[in-house]
Amino acid sequence: MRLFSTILLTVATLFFYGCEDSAKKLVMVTTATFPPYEYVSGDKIDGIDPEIIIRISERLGYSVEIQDMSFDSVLAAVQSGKADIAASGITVTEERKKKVDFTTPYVIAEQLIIVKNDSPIKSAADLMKKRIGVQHGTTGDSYVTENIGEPERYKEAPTAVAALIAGKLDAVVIDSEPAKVYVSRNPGLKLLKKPLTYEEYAFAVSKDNPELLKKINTELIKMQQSGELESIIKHYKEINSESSQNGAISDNKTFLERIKDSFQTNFAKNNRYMYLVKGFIVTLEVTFFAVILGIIIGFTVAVIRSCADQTGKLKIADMLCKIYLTVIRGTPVVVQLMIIYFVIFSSVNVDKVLVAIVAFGINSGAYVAEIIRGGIMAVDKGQMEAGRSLGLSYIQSMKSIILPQAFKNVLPALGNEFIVLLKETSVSGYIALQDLTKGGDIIRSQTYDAFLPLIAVALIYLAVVIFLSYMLGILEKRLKKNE
Amino acid sequence: MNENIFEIRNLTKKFSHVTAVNNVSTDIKRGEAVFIVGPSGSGKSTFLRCLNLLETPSGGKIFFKGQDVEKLNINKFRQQLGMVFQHFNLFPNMTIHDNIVLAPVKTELATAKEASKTADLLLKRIGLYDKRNSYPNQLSGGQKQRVAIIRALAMNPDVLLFDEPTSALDPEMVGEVLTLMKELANDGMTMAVVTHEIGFAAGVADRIIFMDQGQIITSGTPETVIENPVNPRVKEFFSKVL
Repeated sequence: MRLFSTILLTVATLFFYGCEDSAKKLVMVTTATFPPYEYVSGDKIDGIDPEIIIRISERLGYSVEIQDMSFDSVLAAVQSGKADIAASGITVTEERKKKVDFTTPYVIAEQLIIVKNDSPIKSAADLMKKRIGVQHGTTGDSYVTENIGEPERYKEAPTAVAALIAGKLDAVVIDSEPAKVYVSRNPGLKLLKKPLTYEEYAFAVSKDNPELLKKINTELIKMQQSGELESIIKHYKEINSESSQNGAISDNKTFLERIKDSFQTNFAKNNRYMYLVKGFIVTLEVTFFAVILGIIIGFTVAVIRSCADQTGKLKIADMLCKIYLTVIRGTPVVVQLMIIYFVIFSSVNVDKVLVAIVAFGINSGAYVAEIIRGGIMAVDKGQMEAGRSLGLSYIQSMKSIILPQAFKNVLPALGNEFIVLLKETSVSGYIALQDLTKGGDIIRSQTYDAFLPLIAVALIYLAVVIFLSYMLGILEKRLKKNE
Repeated sequence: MNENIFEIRNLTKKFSHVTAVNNVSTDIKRGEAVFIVGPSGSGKSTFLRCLNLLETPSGGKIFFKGQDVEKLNINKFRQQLGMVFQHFNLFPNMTIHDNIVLAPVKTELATAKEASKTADLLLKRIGLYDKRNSYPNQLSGGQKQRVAIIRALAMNPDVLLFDEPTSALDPEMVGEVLTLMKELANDGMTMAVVTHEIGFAAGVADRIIFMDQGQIITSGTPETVIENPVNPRVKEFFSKVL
């Protein structure tokens, strides 16, 4: 299946997208929920890391493409060659040095502890046996894991902070700069003065690319010596603490006023609703084409398997289909999505929407295949016999007689599968595709408000599902009439 | 009578534990109406289904118009036979008209226009032209079976095979189907019919084959087989059903 899909996808990629010239372009990966180092501002990703990388690249004569993905994927992206450089407030550790090469550190950062104002936690010593939130894959994560106990790992720092505010956590351990921003925006939170640990930030480059590493180091040292580096860091810290004052919510407002304010901040301000609109379009795009791919694969597999059952032919194809069904139905779709993106397509530059369509299409195909096979088996045996007795071939009988009846029988189950698929696409964020759910995440990371963005995302999914169910009902009724 | 449509030699069909058809040999001539009768489980239906290879024979040979059927293209071969089933097996997702024209058009026996004309003529003949745009579920059992018969006829077959065509019908529906079958027999259609309608068989058959336990016990005109049976088993059977 892997070989098959690789070939299929390579062909599709060449067909739709052509080959991109990567010679003069650096792909930088980051997790844009880590102000002031990196964050989404309007349409672009801004912050200390992007700024430094852009300046260095300009001097080296490269253009830069910045991609946003979850932090636990950025090093993998560099390692697999999907990206040239990871710049995401990455702390240098021995563990990470085994996987990638690090540039000279450009900042010394501390891991700070955030608690609620009324928290009994006064120092690192009080953290034992407490519920501690961290951003998955960060230094805070590994330090807490090794020295204190199992933390609760969040994909993004703002979610951990939101959990702390909601009382789901006792403390959050994250890097000092973002920690200061979060605390300044949330009046109910404070920082413990003594940092939990110290660390150095550096950029990560693939071990296969020592030349790039050397070039970046040369430029980085020049920037350090000229004081340029320091001024960039100062600049971003300033603009972030300014914007944080605007974002603080004052407490003497009525509930309705607060909802109205929250609505303003989450959707109207800076046209943030566009994240939802764009994400919604991506979600629909992925779902629509994945459904079509799933139906094509599903019908093919179902017919091959039924043919093997009924006539004893196509034994080898039947075996392949069984392997496909077992593997796809036996593994989570998130894992499949990431394998397709990071392993199968590691060396080709391919559009993420296409990857998602292929991953969800292949996944859905397995379920559709079994649904349709069930439908085929439920059609009376006499129907096939009648078709064959009239001199129609197996394929002709299948196409004209059996499949139309099977399709009608399984329509409710198919509709259900497509509704599930629509909602499953919400894991697209794992490969940094900005779908509807991810759009909501971005708003949350900017406004530090979990309630409205999540509710809005949920309502949009709900509306689509209600619409889909309604359309399926009409189709079912129309097909039923023909009896 | 003239040429042989079917020559069956030592035909055997075994299922995992039972031998349903055991060493059967007989001929079916052009224009002949052959009725196959016998007790339940005697292998009549299996024998009939072997003729158009819905069952693959375990042994023996079947020749169709002089050619070994194993060597024929199975679809081309079946296009020359018509099969009528106990449960009609009309296609519920298509109109009556579409049920009839599907096979002639798909097998490129006729253009859509020609097939449609033939279908209309056949529907008029059985008095169901006004049902051409109805769906099978809107028809009575007798109507369904008559449509199934003309669906087979639309392929202009050399022979029609009937597998207990009236067994699933309400008693008041049986007559209309038998009338149509009799008309076809009178027109000289070659037919092989598996049935329990002994009285009908006696009136229409050119030849009766009596089967029991997978074998042909006796074969001959209705007079010799039904009215004056020699074999005690045959005698016993007819004394019970008549």
